[in-house]
Amino acid sequence: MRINPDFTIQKVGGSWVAVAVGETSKTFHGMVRLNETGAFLWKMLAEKDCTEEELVEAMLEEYEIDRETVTADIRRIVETMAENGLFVPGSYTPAAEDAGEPEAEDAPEAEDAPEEAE
Amino acid sequence: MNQTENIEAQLREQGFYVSTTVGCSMFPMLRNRRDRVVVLPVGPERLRKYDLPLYRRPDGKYILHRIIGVRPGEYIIRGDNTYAKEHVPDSWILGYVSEFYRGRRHVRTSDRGYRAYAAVWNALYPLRRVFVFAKRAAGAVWRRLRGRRHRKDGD
Repeated sequence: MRINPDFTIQKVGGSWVAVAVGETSKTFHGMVRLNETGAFLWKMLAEKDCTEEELVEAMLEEYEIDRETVTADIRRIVETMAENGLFVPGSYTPAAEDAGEPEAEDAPEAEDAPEEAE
Repeated sequence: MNQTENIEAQLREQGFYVSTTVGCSMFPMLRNRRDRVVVLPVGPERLRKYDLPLYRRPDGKYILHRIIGVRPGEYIIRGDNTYAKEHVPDSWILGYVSEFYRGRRHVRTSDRGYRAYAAVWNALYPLRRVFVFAKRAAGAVWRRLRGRRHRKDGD
């Protein structure tokens, strides 16, 4: 997965904020606020295409946390990023949740794109 | 991580607003859909000459231009790349640009270098105006000449 290069990140006061520029700014009008961890992952994903495993390894090197917590956190952050349309299209595949149980047929359908109110 | 649309709500809830600039009225300082501004809400103090206020016209349009005059209850405002002055009452003003990113370059609007740039750009206004009118006039003459030549060619 990789962050769409049309997003730029900047530090404002104590937090990190990403906004869209170029073509993407025509459809994405908001600002994305990130904490230190979010910004750390963001910078990695903006630089190159990373796998979840690479993100986990980098986080373990940077912070003192256990692998399980890191993996769960990263999965959650990455999912939120994907839901908000921040990745280069096609560069993200949702992580397979401990395979087994197929999804119920009446599961609500995921929306194709995040809604953008003008 | 959160994403909000309304600028007023953003300023109120987050205490700042970050956005890409759209349009060319502040060119060459801010380029269309490339540069980003950080806007802070206005406090009780009034803004100063050369500050960059973000305001909302009664028709709902958000504008970010430069203050070129401060008067009681209103500001005289003009875009760096526009030619008309606008009288903007204090009540329209939502915030002001505290810093901006021109590409990778980071500029704080309180910096002396930036303020000097703003003063110089403003001082160049008469020249800029003459230059633009001269350019337009030259264009009109050129089109007229070309038109005449085309007619001649057609004969």
